[in-house]
Amino acid sequence: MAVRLLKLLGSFVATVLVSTVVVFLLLRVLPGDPATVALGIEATPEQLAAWREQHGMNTPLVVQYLEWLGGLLRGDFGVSYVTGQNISPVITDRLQVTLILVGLAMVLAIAVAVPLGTIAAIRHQRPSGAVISAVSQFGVAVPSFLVGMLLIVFFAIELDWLPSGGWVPPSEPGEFLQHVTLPVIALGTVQASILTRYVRSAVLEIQREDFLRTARSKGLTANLALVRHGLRNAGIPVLTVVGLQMAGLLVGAVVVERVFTIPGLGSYLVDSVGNRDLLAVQAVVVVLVVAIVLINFLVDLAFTLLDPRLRRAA
Amino acid sequence: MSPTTRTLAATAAVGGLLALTACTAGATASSPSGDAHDASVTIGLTGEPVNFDLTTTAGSAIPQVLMNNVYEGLVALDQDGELQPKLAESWTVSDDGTTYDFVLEEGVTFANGEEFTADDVKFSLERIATDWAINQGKMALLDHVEVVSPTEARVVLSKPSNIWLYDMAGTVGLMFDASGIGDLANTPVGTGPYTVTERVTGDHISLAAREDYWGEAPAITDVDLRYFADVVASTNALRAGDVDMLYNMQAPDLIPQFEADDELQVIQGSSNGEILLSMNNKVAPFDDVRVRQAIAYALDRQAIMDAAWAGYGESIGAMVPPTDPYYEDLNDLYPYDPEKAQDLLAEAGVEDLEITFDVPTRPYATAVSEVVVSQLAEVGVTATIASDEFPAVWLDKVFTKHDYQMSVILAVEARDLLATFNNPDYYIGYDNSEIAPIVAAADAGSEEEWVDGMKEVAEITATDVASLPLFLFPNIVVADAQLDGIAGNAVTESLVLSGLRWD
Repeated sequence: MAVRLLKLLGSFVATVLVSTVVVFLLLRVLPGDPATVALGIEATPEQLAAWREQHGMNTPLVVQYLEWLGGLLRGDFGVSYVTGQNISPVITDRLQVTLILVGLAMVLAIAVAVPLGTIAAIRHQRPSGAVISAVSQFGVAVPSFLVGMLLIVFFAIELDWLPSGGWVPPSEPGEFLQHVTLPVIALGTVQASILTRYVRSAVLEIQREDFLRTARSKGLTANLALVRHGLRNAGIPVLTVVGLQMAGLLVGAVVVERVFTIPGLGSYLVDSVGNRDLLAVQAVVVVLVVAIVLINFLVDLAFTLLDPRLRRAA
Repeated sequence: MSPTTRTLAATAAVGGLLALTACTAGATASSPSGDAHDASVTIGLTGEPVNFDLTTTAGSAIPQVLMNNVYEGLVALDQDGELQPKLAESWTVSDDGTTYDFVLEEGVTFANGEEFTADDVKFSLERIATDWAINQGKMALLDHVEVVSPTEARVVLSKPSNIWLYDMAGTVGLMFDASGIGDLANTPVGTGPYTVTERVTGDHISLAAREDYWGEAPAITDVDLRYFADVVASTNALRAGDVDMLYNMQAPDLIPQFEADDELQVIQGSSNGEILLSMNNKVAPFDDVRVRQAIAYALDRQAIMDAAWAGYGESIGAMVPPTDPYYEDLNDLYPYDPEKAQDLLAEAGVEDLEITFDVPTRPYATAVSEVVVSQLAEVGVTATIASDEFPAVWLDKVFTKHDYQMSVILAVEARDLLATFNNPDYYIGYDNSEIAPIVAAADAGSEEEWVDGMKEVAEITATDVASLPLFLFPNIVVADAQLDGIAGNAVTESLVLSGLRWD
């Protein structure tokens, strides 16, 4: 167990470190000059040179990288080229927003997918199962930004029930719920569809397992056997998908935040790339990488807890 | 009920609860487009300020919010582009044109409670040379400011200038308080009718009317400026009633739909923005005036405006909008004439011309470029589009490194005729020694001499097709039909809020 944990931790650190190098270098070869973007078209060459000097862009790349990495280790993302403000508090604010979106979308996806997928599996030879299956297939194919736009047209413009976008923090629960509902549904439906299909096939597979036949033969009904013994085993493949989906949701949030004008990490990333706010882009990417690697790490950890064989093997 | 059914029922109930929460939230929502308007307005904008410091940060986003609303200058431009008194109730100019005596309004205070006096005029203008990072050139003529009395300031220039007072109606003329500049990036302190009360980056900026404003109190006491990165998101917000007004709307194809809606009004205001087909005068083939003239004959500018921007905008024949005092109708200088274009190309010896067309990633640019390419093809010019990310790549490649042949850009700066063509080192690279002396004489002369000189410059650059203005970009405003007092003409970068009121 301890060895396995250490291995996981090691690969976690290595992945993050490599990604910082890649991000740093990629942004340095990106065309476009941060100084011109910041100072605009009326800046003189002297002003541009002074700006580059002031922002430490004349020092060797290795030094720039190490200084940035040093800051990262202290939890300091540096000062934005564009706004002149510390990036760390901005990241904290934006991350909060994105995590709320992603978290709620995942909860929604699981809440929809687990029952629907199970029903679809149990009734796979009946019309109701086939309908769920077909609808979820359709849902997989629709991109979340399209769902978002359709939701806006229907619920915000036609029915006028909910706002078309914007963000209110959870400290004002009523307003918060109104603003968060449509984006969460937009983000969540696609994931729910994908997850439904995985739950369905996992449950179908489990039903064919010997241990379920054994459970039934000792007198349990088919459904009870599935709930008592099957779902836990079906959970392992489903958990993998949930982990992958969390990563997908973080990325999907970039687009959905744009559609709903939500000040999350995604819109910060897009704006910062446009402004060539290199340190801000680096910060967002590192946060996303850490989040995704962390999710994978947690999924691995959860496997170990769910599956006794893995615990023994370690 | 079997155990499984119970589990499923429970899960379904949770799901239903979620849905229910959503619905209740919706039902209790106060209708955003409710009929009873209070004294607040929500305005949808694009291009959010990265901070509030317009002394060091370029671009029009900051002055759009702060100029005339939070900060004020001694003078201001009205909706017709005419100079009007603001913090200066009157002024006189000496006969030699170098000394301006301003009489200041009394009883004016800054938002921090400090009184506005002639000392602030001296402080604000003299610190431009030392503390501003941008636009310093506009105050380069300033020699010094004398504080004659608390309400009288004398500004002395090193030489006469017709443009200086006009520039004073822009950002360089804004008045600051010595104790109010501690945190310009976050806390702007001015004499204007509004103060900034909240800023949530990526979302909105809130302004509130000051109770101690020296002038007429604005009818709208609370203004929310909401920023949209996506034009569709902004029009959705308008249709949903989440915003009351979209300023400088950039989706002309949606206008007919808005015009058909009785609850909305569409205003097509003027702007200072020319859609400019820029040609690099320093590289082949555009170093040959005949090739540039051929391009001017080859393009049907009205058709370009119709196809690219749904016919919204104004035709212009030179880099001068009709609101400028030295405007002259030069539209007929180069009428659409593809045959003449082909003749000129043949004369220049560049038949079967192939060029690269650098197009910034902006809606207007992509829309315009497709029409331009197809019209050029008709006279045998093959233009290959190279897409440049805007602003980062375009500014670097085209604007700074001059590494291009032809491009298209919205030149938003006011009165930019000289900045564009009277500087051989500018990215256009138009080098005509004839115009610099005309400009110098005009700026130092009387107002009539100035107007005449500028007209001459406009005509020379238009005849030479130093570059080709395609049309004047419209400032399209779509708003709730009950909103009055909208300043639709974008005469400066500023969006003037103080005139707004609900019908």
